[in-house]
Amino acid sequence: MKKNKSKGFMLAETLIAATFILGTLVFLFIQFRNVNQGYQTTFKYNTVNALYAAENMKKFYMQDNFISMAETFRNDKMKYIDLSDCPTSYVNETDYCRRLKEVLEIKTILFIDENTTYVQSVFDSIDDISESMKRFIEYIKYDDELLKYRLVVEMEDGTFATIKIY
Amino acid sequence: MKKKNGFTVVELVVSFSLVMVIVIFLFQIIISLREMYVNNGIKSALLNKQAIMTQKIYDDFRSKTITSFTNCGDNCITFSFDDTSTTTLRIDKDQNLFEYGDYATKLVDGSSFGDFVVSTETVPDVSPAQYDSMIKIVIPVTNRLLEGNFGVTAVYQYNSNFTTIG
Repeated sequence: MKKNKSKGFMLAETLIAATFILGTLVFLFIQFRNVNQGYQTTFKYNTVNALYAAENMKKFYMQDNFISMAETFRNDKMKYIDLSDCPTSYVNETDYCRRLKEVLEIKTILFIDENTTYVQSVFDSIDDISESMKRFIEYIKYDDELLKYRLVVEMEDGTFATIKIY
Repeated sequence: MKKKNGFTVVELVVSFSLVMVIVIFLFQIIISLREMYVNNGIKSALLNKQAIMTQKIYDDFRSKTITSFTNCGDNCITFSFDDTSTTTLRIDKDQNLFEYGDYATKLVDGSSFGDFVVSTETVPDVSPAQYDSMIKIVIPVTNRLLEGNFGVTAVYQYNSNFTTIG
């Protein structure tokens, strides 16, 4: 007498196949979401308004106190200068600088070396640079040139831009 | 002896449920992909327009000195430059048209202009040789499918001791 041993076989097969397919789909979905998030983030980088805002600030610094600021940066071997509050130690026309920054809707301005690895080396010990600013600086592709600098700008709307200044 | 062919109800229900979960996941991914494709396409087109419109204005701001600007009607400004040339910036809200000098472009479908604002400001007590004034031009552009402003924000800095803009 032939005993039918197929009880439960279909369910087990479906469970195994479904688990495998589900696992693959979940993995794909997570990867897809990470790629999409990264892609959306780059829409916030080097936006038109942020770039021209950075250019306007560069224009201001070049005719204000750039040479002295660059000398101090170099001689004191600084990693970055936070120019967000238009500090009097680096800016002559503080009132105009602050008003210009307000009009351009800039939140943060950093003066850093063209080689961004110098400022990245102190990221762990800096609390006053936001995580999103750090991510943007890591994103910047730099030319390894001596005595060249960059302005990195964060706008009020969360967009970023960078421009060379020298 | 009773012969068992076919599936039990439990097997069928469980198999069917698992397949439905997989199908729902797949649909989620397809719908997200389609939304992404449409939105990113529109976003890219909007950002391209924004870049071109802003660049047209800044090309003149960089290479020439503004001597005056006058209102030439609704949403219309005429700039006069030191080389005696004039350029008109005009927004046609009905046609969704941006005109700057010889250049004209229509907005992406579904977009519209906001209120066109031009303002000037002078910061007091600035050194006579430095920039102390600025003109700000704001032309907001919004799209019914996307959040955010894809318009033009242009700032022109000048020294009111050398240039009287009226």
